[in-house]
Amino acid sequence: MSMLRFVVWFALALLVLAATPAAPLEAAVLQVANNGLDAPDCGAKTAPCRSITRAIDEATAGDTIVVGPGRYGDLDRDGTLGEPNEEGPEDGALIVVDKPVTIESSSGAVWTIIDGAGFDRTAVRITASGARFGRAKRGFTLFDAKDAGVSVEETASNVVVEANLAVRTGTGFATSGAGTGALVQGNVASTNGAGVALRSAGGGIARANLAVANTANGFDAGGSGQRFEGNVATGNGIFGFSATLSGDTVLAVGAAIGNRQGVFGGTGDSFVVTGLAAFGNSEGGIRNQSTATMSVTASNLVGNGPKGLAGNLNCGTLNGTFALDASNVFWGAATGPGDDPADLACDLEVKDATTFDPFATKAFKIKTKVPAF
Amino acid sequence: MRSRVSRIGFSFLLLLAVGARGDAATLNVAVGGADADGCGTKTAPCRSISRAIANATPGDKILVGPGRYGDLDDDGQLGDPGEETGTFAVVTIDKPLIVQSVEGSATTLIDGGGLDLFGVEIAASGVVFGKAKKGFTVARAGRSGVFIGPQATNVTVSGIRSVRNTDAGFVSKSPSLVLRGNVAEANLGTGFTFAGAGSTFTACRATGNGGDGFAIAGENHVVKGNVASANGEAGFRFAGEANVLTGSVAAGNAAGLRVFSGSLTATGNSFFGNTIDGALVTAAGITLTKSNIFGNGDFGASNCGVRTAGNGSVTLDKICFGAPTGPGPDPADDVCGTITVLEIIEKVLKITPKVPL
Repeated sequence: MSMLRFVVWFALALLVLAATPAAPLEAAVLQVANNGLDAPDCGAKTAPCRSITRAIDEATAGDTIVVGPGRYGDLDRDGTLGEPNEEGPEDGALIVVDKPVTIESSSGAVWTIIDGAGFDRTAVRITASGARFGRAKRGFTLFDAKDAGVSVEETASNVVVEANLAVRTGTGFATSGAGTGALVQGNVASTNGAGVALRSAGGGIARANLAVANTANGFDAGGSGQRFEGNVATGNGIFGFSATLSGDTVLAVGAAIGNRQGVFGGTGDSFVVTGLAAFGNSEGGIRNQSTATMSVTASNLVGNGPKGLAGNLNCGTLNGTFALDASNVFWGAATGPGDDPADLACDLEVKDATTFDPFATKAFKIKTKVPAF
Repeated sequence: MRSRVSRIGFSFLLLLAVGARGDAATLNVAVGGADADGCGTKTAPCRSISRAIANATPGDKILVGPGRYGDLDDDGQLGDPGEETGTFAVVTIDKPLIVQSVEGSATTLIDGGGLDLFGVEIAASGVVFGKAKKGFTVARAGRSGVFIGPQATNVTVSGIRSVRNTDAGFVSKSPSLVLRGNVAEANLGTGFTFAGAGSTFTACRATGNGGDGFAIAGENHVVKGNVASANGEAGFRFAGEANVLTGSVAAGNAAGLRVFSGSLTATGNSFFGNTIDGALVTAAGITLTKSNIFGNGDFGASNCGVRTAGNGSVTLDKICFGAPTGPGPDPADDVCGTITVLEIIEKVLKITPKVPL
């Protein structure tokens, strides 16, 4: 190699080195425990914080906060947040995740509890894009918060909420605001007002969640571009799945069991339902009220009714004014929609508005993978 | 010779047992079925579980498909076509049967519908109700979700989620029961209320119930690997002799453990973040060993990990109080009352029961 060539190569190497950004600081892991104390710089293994809020204050973007078993929140249940070692004091929420951090429990949801103590609050409000709350086998119990268990708000995008249990909250898991790409996955919403409500303008995904015995809807779509995959709604007080004031909504594989109505299409742009098992919903399997375009295919509608709008009939579908494409559906009998043991295609307002031909002659195999036992 | 006779006798009994099992039938129930005489075949399933039970003989298995079972038209009365027909409970299992779901609890609902009835009554010995991944959700009963009647012994209940019932999730005074992998959630009363004797509770979870998580009276019960969380009263309450609590976690209840009376062997448990006390003991001579006790007693700022009242006295051995210095102020828990502390464990003990979410 000539001297000149060596100098050129050496100079190029220097340039490349100079252009390479410095390696980012290594993400830290902060610890929170019931035997911790909130103090400046808490979070080390030997000096964990007592509150998740304090750990978030101490964290920087990209850090992970690992929370030990026990109870977090308004510890003395006096209605005032922000006392020593308590969460808060942000107005209306016990914990505000305003940095892109990962928060997970060390032992799983069932004995790591964020306790709303029965007040009008959200347990966990997420306002930062890229935040993650819970992961498989490392989630939280959100308990007794009269607003939401977990609420993704403002412009928070690409947030993940996973493997949590919401019990006796207003809405178990909710998204709103302008964010996009929220993933609500593998959670259980039991005995809340509503189970999972995706209402962000930018859309999100609810995957493999179980909503059981909530007073209102199991799953709710608003905003635009919401997608439901592999969820189960069982024994909820109103709808298993509902799309109201929504843009395009997709329900791809799911089960609606024993709700008042299995699936409800309200006002919205489109609602595409594929791979639904709607069994034993008391007023009907699928109700299409005013969605301009709603379709149901590759689904089983069996044992729904006999109560409600259509005069105590066993309605697999309850259709209002607009056309409902329900072809390629199994109605509980090889002969298609009809009287028991099949389900009927019921048109409430406009005769023959439901298309059910061709119908499936045998049941579809529909598999969901919710946290079940 | 005697042992040969015994072997022959045993073989004969085995043959009888196999023969009996060979005769056992499987009856099917599905929301697309219809109740009729002889229903229960795969091609003609029953619509109601009650009808399948009526058509079954002892030893049979009933397999229930996904869907809702109960007062189907919500008119406040059972017994309309396809509906369950119980008078004491929505479903009464009054024969020694195996009753399981096809898909599991998430998609198989026995709906109490708010009727003034129990959700499920087990009224025969030897019943097996549910199984891991083949259980039921029992919800909205006007009384307790699952009731095991006093005449029923040797009953096994598994894979059941009993939720939002007006009284307890599960209740019984019968002896020799096995409860495994069940969940009692947000019932207005207790999660599990059991008296009798000699029952075992394994891998069950009680969360968010209005009363105790587990209220155990009677003798010789074994409570192993369970979780009680966020219940309105005690996580685990005991009143009786020779009971055992091991490998369990109580977190976020009013009290983690309440030993009201009798004797209890409690080892390898965790009591975390219970509002009033980690453990409240009014029985004399109770020993807690190899356990974690911290983060308790924030309500009223007592910071009591263990507290005694009345004639209660407690010995604590091999306990992690949350700080290497042992009982004391935060971050440790303190001890309050007639309590003897033996060995202190500095490091948190790993206790991880495997309960359903």
